[in-house]
Amino acid sequence: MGSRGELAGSAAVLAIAVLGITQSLRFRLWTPEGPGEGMFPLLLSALLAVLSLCAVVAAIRSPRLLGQRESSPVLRAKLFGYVAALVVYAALFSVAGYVATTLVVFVTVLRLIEGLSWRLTLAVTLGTLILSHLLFERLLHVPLPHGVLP
Amino acid sequence: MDFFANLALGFQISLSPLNVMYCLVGVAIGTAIGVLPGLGPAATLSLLLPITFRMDMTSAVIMLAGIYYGSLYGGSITSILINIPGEAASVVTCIDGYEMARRGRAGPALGIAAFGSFIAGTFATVGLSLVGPGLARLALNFGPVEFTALVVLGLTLVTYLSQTSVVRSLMMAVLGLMLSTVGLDPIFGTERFTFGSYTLADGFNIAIMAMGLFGIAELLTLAGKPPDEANFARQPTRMRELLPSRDDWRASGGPIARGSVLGFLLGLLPGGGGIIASFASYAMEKRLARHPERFGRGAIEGVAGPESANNAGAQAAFIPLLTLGLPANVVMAITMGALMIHGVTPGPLLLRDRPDLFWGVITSMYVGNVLLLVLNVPLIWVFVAMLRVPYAILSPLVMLFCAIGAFSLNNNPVDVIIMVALGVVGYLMRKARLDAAPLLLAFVLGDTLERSFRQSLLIGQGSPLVFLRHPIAATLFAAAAVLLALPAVGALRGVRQVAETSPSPE
Repeated sequence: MGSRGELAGSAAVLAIAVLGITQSLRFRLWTPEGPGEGMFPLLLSALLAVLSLCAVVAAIRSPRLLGQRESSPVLRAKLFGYVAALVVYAALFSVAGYVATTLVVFVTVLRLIEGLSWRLTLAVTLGTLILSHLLFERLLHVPLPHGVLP
Repeated sequence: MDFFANLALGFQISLSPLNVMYCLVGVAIGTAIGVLPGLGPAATLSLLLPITFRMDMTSAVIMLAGIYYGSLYGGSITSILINIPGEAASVVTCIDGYEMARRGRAGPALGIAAFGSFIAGTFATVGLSLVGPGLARLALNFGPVEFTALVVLGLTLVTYLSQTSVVRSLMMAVLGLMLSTVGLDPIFGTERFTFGSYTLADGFNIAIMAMGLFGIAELLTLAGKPPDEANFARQPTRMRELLPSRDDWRASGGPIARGSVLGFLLGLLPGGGGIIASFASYAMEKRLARHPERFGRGAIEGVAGPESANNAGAQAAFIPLLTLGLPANVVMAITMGALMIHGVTPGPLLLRDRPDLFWGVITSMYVGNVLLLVLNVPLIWVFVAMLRVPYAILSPLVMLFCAIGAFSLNNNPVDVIIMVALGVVGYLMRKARLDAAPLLLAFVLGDTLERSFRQSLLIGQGSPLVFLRHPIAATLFAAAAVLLALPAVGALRGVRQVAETSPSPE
C-alpha cells in the first residue's frame, strides 16, 4: 500500500487526535487538588495532532504517492474468509459455546478455505477439541462458555 | 563473613528436595503458561494462589517465583515462533526473534533466549545477594518527578525499535499513551473515553492488545499471501541449526552482559522498570551496532539483549518487594498477597526477622535458573518441530488459543470481540506502515506516566519547572533530548553529504 497507506493511516491518527482534543475538553483540566482528569489526555492529543500532521505532510510530499502498485498480490478471497471466520468466532463464542463455534470455524477454515481433506479436517478439529478441553477445563479450570451444550 | 553464612542458609533451604520440586513445578507451569497466549503469569498466580495456603510459606514463594520467571521464558517462545508476545516485555523479542524464525533460525533465537536468560538471571541473583538491599534503598530516591522523567526517557527509546521514521514511531507511542487513558481516571476515578461501555471502563487489556495487534494481525497478513509464502516461520533443515553457532555467541556476548546490568538496575525500581529495560537494551544494542540496519531483520543481538534484560529485571523486582514492601508489578503484588496471607508483611524488617525466607527465595532463583535451562534447552527441537505444522492447520489453532486466552481474562465475550477488532486494525496498521510495537510499549507505561506526571505537577504547584529542579529528573530529560536529537543530526548530516540523492528524514 506504500505511501497511500501511510497517508490514510496518518490521517486516521490525526482524526483520533482531534477526537481526543474535543473529548478531553469535556473534563476538568485543573482542580483544587491538582491536575484534573482532562489535562493529561489533552496534552497527549495535542502532541498526537502535531505528530500526525507532520506524518500526513510527509506522506503527501513523498514521491512514491502516485502510480504505485502493491509489492506482492493479496489473496483477497482467502483474507476475507479468515476475517469472516474470526468474526464468527467472536460473535458466537459465548452464545453457541466454544465447542460448537470451534467446530464450525475449524471446518470452515480447514475444509472450505484451506481445502484440506475431510478426514484431516475432522481429525484436527476433534483432536483440538479434546486437547483444549483437557488443558483448559480439566487442568487449568478455565470456565469456558458451553452455550446450549451441557 | 555474613554474606556467605546467609548464602549457606539460603541454599540449605532452597536445595531441600521439597523446595527443588516446588521450584521445578513452578518453572514448568510458568513455561507452559507463558506459551499459551492470554494466560499470563498474573492470571496463573491468581488461579494457583489458593493452593499455596496449605504450603510452607518459603516453598509457596519459591513456587510462585518459579512460575513468574518460567512464564517470561515461555512468553519468548511464542514471540519467536508465531509473533505473539506472552507479555509486555516480550514485545521487543518479536521484532528480531520472529524475523530469525522466518529465516529458519528459530533454534538459535530460542537458544540464545534461554542461555541469555540463564546468564542474566544468574548475574541478577548474585547482584541481589551482594548489593540488592542497599540498592533498593537508593531506588527510594525515585519519586514521581524522577519516574516521569524515566518513563519519558524510556518512550524516546521506542524510536529505536521501529523500522519507520522517528515521527511515525513517536506518533504510535503517543497513540499508545492515549489508549492507556481509556477507562477510569487513576486519581479521581472518573470514566474517560468509554462512550458508555462498561467493558471499556476497565480500559484496554495489554494481553488482548498484544494478541490482536500481533497474533491475529500476523494471521491475517499470512492469510493474504500465496500458499508458498504463507508460513509462520521456516523449519531448520540441519540439526546444528537448532542451537546458536560460535558466531551467534560472539555477537550475543556483549548484548547479554549489557542487558543483564541494565535489567538488574532498572528492575530494582518499583514501578515496572523491567519493561523499560527490555526496550532500553534493544535501543542500546541498535545504537552500538556496526550495522544497525540488520535490526528488525533477524539480528540475534536484538533477541539476546532484551531477553537478558527482561530476565534480570524480573528477578531484581523481588528486592523492592522483600526489602521495602513495594511490589514492582502485578505479579509482585500477588506474591505480596501470598506472603501476607501467611502473616508476613514484606518490608525492611523481613531480612532481620525472617532471613530463612529472604535468603531461601533469593537462592532458589539460582536453582530455578538452572532448572529452566535444563528443562528448556533439550526442548528446543520440540518447539522448533512445531514449525513443521503447516499454516493451514496452525492458523485455526492460533484463533482458538487467542479466543480462549482473551475470554479467560475476565470471562467476558466482549474481550474476544475487541481482540478480533484489534486484529483487523493491526492488519490495516501494517498496510499503513504503522508499527504496533511502540504503541504497545507506550500503552503499558501510560498509567505510570500519567500518575507520576500529575503527582509531579501537584508537587510543583502546577509549575512544569519542577522537572528541572530535581537533578535526577533533569539529567534523565537531558538524556531523552539527546536521544531524540541524535537521529535528526544523523539525518541532517546524511542530507548534507548526499544532498541530491538522499530522501528527507521524514
